[in-house]
Amino acid sequence: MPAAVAVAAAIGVGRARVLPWAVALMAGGYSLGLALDRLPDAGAPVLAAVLWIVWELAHWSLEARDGVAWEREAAILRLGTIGAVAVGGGIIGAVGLAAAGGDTPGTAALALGAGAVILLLAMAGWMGVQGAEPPPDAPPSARREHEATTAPPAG
Amino acid sequence: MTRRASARLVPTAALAAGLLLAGLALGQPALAVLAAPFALALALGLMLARDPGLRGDLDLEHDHALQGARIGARLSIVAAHPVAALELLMRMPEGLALEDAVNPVAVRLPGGDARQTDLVLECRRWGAYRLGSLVLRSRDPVGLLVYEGQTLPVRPLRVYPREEALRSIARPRRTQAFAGDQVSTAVGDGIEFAGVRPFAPGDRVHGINWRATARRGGVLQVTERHPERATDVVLFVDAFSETGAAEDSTLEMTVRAAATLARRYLGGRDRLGLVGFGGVLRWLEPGIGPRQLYRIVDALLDTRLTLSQAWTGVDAIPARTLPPRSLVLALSPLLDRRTTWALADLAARGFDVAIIEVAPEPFLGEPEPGDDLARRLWRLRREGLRDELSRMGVATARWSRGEPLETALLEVIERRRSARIV
Repeated sequence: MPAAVAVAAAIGVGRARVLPWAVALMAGGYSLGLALDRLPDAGAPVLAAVLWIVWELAHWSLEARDGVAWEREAAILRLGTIGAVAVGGGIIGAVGLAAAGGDTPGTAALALGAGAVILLLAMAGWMGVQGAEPPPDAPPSARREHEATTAPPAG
Repeated sequence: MTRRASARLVPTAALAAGLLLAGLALGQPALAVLAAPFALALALGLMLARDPGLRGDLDLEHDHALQGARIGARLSIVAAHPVAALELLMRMPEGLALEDAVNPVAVRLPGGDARQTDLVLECRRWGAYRLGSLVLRSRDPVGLLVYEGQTLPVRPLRVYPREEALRSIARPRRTQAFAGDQVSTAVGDGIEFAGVRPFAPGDRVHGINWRATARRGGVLQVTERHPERATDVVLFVDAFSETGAAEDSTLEMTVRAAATLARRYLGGRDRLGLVGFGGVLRWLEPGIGPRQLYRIVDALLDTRLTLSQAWTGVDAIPARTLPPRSLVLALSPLLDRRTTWALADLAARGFDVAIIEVAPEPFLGEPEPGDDLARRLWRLRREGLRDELSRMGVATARWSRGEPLETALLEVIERRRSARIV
């Protein structure tokens, strides 16, 4: 319930920064439910898909405030991509869950998980660095700052 | 195209990593499962992101138009690779507007095919425009990386001011030495009858008025005539101040009136010059003919308000721009002291000055409570200014929004008849 309120608040006030906290709240609630044995593990892939859909639709809703009108074809394609990632993520999650067997993870699983985290962060870092150039309509100060931080040292 | 991370990249990565870590730390594999779609989106974003290779072009139906006209344009966008969602924003210069078009819009673009969109541009204000600012933004299929860029070669578009209907124009009091259309007050060879005087040595025989000679008892009389001479007119456009919005302002009216007057004066054989008196001082020496008309109108299209605190006087204007015996016809809202001083200075120097005051009052909103007194004082001050100019022999007439320019010009002509010449 608090998570739903957080998502609604994020959309209401137009703050995308609130959305990760709303998702974290949802995950926290789910984790609490698991700890209290009130929720079955088998529902995790479905919840993962739902979380992703909520996350994407909330972002789309916030982007819509920029006044960009989506043509029907483009909107359907975006919806399809959201759905495909949700289904794909759910399937991967279900496979992962089946592989873990629902037991407490061992050392190998821990190492695998830690590797996945490092890989994720590396991916995000690489994407962020590759895309760190300021947009073409950025003020000259931003472009100068970018050039100063990315230029190789003189000599 | 410039690649950058979207605002969603970091939160997506942070959520995926956080959920995985939480799952590991709490020993709950189900919690780590929640990270799966986020991690999958990151992987897809990394694999599928590529520069779409966008190119754009804009074809205009005409490269010039009249204010108020609508002109067609065709926008073509080509992508080297398919784009799931391409956001297009066409930045229109102030004074131009897209009619019945969704802007910005997100569209799907297949790779290799050109997407063509027909647009209609509404020319709301005169001016020299450069179209070509189209912002393109494409995302990878999951929207984590953004490619942004501006495209289109620059297309010039000149929108000429809509002209006012005008039948009468203010004529200079004195003419120049060259032949023209204006009847001079001087006596010489011409058509208009000036008078009769006794024959003097050197007079031509065909100038003898035999009827008058007969009436005067045989004393030879000759007919005197007024010659037709050219006149010099200088349009003095005040670009120091402006009241109102861009598409409906005193400056918009000023340029519209100047273009109308230019066409009317140059329709005859008058020489016409231009002085753009503002933050940027610009001038055109007097000239004749259609070429001069286009030079003046093109110069007027570049008229814009430039903020300046520098004191600009008449001395800054080249002497050749203001020929002696010319009429300086000023178009001004009379809001800036520099313009008023310059016009008074010109009148004091013996120039024939007339002012069409582009009334700023209709562009002012309703006064705030308590501003009534200030507004009344301002009006009184302006009336005092007009009286002062009138005492200097400068005919001033007000031209308000919605009124025909002809009315103001007729008032100027009437006032000039009765004005005292210094």
